Amino acid sequence: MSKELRMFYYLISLSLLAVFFAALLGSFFSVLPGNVALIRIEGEIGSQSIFGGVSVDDIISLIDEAERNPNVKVVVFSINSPGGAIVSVQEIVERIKVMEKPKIAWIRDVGTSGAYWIASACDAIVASPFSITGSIGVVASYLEFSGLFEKYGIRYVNLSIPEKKDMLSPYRGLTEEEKKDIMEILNESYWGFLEDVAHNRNMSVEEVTNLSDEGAIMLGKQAYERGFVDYLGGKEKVLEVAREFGNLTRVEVSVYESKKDISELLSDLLFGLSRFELKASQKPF
Amino acid sequence: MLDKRFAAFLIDLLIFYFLIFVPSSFVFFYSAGLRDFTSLEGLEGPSVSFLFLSSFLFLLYKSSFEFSFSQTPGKYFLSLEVRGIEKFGDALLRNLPFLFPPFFLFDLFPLVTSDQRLFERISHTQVLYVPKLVIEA
Repeated sequence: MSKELRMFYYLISLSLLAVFFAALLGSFFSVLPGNVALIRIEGEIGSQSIFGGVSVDDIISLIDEAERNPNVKVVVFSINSPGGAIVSVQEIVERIKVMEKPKIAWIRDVGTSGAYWIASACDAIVASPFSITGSIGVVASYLEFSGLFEKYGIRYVNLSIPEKKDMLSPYRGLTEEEKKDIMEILNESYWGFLEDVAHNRNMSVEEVTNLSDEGAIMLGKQAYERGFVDYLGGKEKVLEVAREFGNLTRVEVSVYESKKDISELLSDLLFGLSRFELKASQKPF
Repeated sequence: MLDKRFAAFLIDLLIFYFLIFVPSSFVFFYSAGLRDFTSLEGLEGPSVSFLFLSSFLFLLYKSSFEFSFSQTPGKYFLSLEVRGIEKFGDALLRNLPFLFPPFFLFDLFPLVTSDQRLFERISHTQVLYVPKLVIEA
């Protein structure tokens, strides 16, 4: 065999070896291949995820992960949540609004209150005709034991400066003035929620107020008729809308989710802390 | 001689680029999960890893050819041969700057006054012009 031929075969062998090393090294990096990222928002939304709720930090990290992945062309939020803490909800809403990629909200069984607010920040909302949505409003509640204490002759003694320092104490009832203060806070929160939904849905505040029926829940079908939902349907509809918004010829979905191991779950339970390691995964959709 | 060596280097770069770098980069990013090859945004980490791999592959390309054939394909076309390589370690040592490109400047500096790079001196190897003998009758 001539030297030239040997050199040629040697070069081809080196090329194949290089390809092998490249495949091996590449497999250590996990960039999810799907062009549609599915992020689940399930359970009550708060700053920590305890007992099946979802944490705002988890959701925002997943959004960051989906935005960073060059494969992802569309992000779908699968929402099955009654809402949650207003601050956490608003953080998610603000993060969704600055997303560069198209985002679609898919309301599953329930997408009410704060969860609907999150959906409204997306480019389109898909819901089943029988999804429960709406409930555009805010609520604050707590257990108050003054009646029980009175029944058993227990007196609550409060010494506080200034006077309203122990407002919302469960051991005494609210004064009229304190009630008024809290209603003012709720009113501010409500109007912030309402105005943002109106802006997101391209509706006037009056329209949203009238059509949302005093914060009542509504079926997906009703929400569609009133302009709060854009499409009625299920998974196939979501994929169709994703294809349209992302200009996609084929759709491949990757599920983005955070996973906790047993020590992290125990830690949440015992300490209410949410230490976690974000792991995005390829799961069947 | 320096112009021949530079030309040989360019030929090796081209061969390496088309036959090794390009195919392995596709395979690397595909197995990392990338499906849209129009952008590497968000893949800075894997990209840096791949650059290191490429440097290593170029080192392997040059060293293995010089050890096995006393010349790389680029040197073959310019009738250059490497002398003084007794073991694979010599070939690796003389090409080590290709693994860490910033070292390359130090490596090239002695070429101002001689025909040996710094790491050629360290490895006791030399590049010679050996034209192919043509016997005519």
